[in-house]
Amino acid sequence: MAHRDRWASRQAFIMAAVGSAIGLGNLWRFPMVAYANGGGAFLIPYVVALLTAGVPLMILEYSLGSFFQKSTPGSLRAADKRFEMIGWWALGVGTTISLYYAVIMGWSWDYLACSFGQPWCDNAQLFFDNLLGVTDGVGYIGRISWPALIGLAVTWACIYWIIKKGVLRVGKVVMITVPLPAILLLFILIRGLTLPGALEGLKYYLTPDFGALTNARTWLQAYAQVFFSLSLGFGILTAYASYLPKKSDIANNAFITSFADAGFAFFAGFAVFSVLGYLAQAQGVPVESVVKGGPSLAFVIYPTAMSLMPFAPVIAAMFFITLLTLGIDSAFSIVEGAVAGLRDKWHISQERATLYFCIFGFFGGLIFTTGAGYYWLDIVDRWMNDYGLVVIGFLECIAIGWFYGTDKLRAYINEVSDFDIGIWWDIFIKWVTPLALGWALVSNVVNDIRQPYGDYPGWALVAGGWGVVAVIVIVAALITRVKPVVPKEES
Amino acid sequence: MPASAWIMAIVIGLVLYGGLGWCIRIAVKREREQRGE
Repeated sequence: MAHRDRWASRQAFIMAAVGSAIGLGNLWRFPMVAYANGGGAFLIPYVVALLTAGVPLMILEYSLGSFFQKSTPGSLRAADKRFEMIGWWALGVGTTISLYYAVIMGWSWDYLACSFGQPWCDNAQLFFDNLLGVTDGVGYIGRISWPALIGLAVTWACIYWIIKKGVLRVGKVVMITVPLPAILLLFILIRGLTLPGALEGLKYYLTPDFGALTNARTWLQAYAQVFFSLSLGFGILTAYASYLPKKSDIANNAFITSFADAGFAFFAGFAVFSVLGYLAQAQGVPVESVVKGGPSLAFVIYPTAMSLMPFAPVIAAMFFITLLTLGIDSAFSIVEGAVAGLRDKWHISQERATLYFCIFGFFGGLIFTTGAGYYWLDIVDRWMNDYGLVVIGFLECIAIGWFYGTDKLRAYINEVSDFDIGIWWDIFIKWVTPLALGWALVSNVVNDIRQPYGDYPGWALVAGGWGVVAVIVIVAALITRVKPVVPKEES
Repeated sequence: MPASAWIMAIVIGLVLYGGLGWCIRIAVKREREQRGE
């Protein structure tokens, strides 16, 4: 068997997996989803979804990598040749997500640079017009934003530097990039809680509306949030686990990663809503009028709130370093997942595979730095999350649960793990998780038929949504047909 | 903030951070045992 890189320690693996799971979505998606779906009551379906779908699927992805000692396509191929395409599909979706994720990180570099040396003053105009140069519609490409382009180049350079030496360097980097955002966010939270109006903001986040629990949409949102947040379906966790020695724990690592991710999201909600409460009070408006998720929260609402605080540049710099450190380990984990797949198939060097990928990522992301890039990012993101990742999770469960057999993997998991998992895991992988994901998928399709996404023209949804999904599936099918290169020592 | 919000925050905090702490404790204990062997 060819030599495989190894994590320096179990801690390095756990930190890398936690860093991959905790990303920008923990900060700008979870608190808003909770707020919009019953406030504090949403936390009940969220924990249920974490334990019934998130943890079982994470155990599955870890066990594939650890058992077969290969990346996602290689592991699935080792389980059954027919499943390899699911792995390439996962890497295709991850690759596509990395293209725009790096652009978002590029914006964070720009905002971090803006935090120093000039009075921090921000609004929607600065973000949408000055930085992005957003055009009037998705069909008007406009010009490339130079700050976004420079930020993109810096992001890919960082990813290349971290990944090119393999998981040993990753293990060192995550020792900084995982705890640092938590510490900085704690400072921001303490600052937020001392501001007037903070408790009013937290009231919106935490006050439970138990009536929402009877709404199927609340449960659907909880399962979707857990699935997106834990880096499931990207092919990352299987690749990371393949760098563990074969006798390493699986079940406990999955629980630690899942609890850490959910705990960070819960904690981030306090930091976000305390500042939103302050902003609402400072502007004399109700809290609901300042509640926005996604990039608008990070690049418009939060900077506006920070501009009203004493020591605004310091707080702003802390916030954007938080964003960068949150994002970078998610970004390079996606790249590492894909690079591991390429290396397993063609046996090229880590450095070369990383270089090719980063060059492709930089040029592939250029569309998102144009004036229409914000619109395309929104469309592609929606389709990758709601159709790409969900379908992969569903297919993984079906492939392993119904064809390969969960009992074989469970026996291996129990042999190496800190504690045994019971037959509940088989039930979740065979029934509960695929049903939840299948339900999410059907709901998305029905909603899109009833009401097409956003205000975009149909051709844009076909090109940026279904078109991108179709290209990924075709490329995955083509790569699957290529025979893997067998290293000389094995042949 | 209403009492229900505080209770919800405390309960969920206990589940998430308690669960995390319990799993880390098992991992540390297991690692010490392995080193002892």
